[in-house]
Amino acid sequence: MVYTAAAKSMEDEIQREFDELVRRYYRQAYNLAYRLTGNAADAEDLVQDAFLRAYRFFDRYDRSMPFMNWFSRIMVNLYIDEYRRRGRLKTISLDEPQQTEEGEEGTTLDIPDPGPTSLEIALDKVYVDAIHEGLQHLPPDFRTAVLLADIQGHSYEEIAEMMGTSIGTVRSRIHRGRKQLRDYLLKRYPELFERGDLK
Amino acid sequence: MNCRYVQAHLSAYIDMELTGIEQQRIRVHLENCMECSAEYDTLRQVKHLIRHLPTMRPLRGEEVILQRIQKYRAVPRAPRRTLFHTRWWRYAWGAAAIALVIWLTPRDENNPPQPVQSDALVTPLTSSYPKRSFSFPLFRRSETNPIMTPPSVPGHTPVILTSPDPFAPLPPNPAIMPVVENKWGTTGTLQPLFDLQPR
Repeated sequence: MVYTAAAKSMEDEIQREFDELVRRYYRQAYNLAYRLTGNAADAEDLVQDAFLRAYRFFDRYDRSMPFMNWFSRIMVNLYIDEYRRRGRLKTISLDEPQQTEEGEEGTTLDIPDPGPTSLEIALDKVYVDAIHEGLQHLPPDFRTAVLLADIQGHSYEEIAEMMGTSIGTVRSRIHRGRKQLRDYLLKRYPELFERGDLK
Repeated sequence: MNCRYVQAHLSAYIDMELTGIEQQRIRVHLENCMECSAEYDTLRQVKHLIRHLPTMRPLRGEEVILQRIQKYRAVPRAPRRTLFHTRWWRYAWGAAAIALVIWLTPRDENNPPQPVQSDALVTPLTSSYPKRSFSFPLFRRSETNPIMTPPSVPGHTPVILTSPDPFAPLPPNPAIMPVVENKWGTTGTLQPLFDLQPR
């Protein structure tokens, strides 16, 4: 294949632009991936695959929309595809005691970012782990919708577009997801819903 | 606005994804209903908790991704297939060509066309259709409409039938009114009621 100098320099420019986007959004993407997949190893794989796919299809990226919207869509689709490919849902009964969570989670849990978010709220590690656990108990579609709405702050319309469903489905998934998580937490840590300072 | 409706829409209410009127109605209901208000508080708390989960920091930096992209980029590969090169489009073109051949084949129900030996690939396929159940409204190649073009007979000039002009003056009929000639003309003409000149 013959490259002209102009095409080469243009490609370098695109490459530089994409590298910049990777550096800027890597942490945010990783955080979402971590909450989606539930552990660091899968999250890293997911983020890497998503960025690689984003690079391959970077010519289709519409510069007028935020990069994270477009990228979240890629990542969510990858995640859901992967989940369906594995063909099994990690169904753990909400009532049965979790015996293996300490051994696994202790090694894979990462250091929380000491940013302003952890300063403005002092969520105990116990509660953080509990919420994380509860999220992992949700069906993946519910979890994805809830995380996109609450962590990324997307509107229902954007989530519907990312997940390829209707707004009504998104609304139902978010509502049911939150209710399931609420029930999960309420059963184990009812004090989470009594503390007034979190509201 | 009953409790069931309100509780089904609480998540959308929390995310402010309802119309203004709905938001207001639910707000009024929540002020008056203890049960829905308690449900609302817990769901809002769930959203709050998820949003304040600590941001996870990846174990490895973005260099891994950048290296993977570099590696991907270093591998020479054929340019990505455009819309007209994909396999799907090839099939579509083929289907369109076959449809066009069927469409343009003249239909004669009394004498179905026989397979032509010279073109063994295409013609048997199209001409073995005894009769098509559908008919396209557009033109066909070798058929003329018998209604629009009457058969021409040699030595015969077609009579052009025209309808009579309804506003043309009728010719005088002596059987109804005898024609009387006087000094002003005939009875068919308009005659003055009195003499303009005294006799």
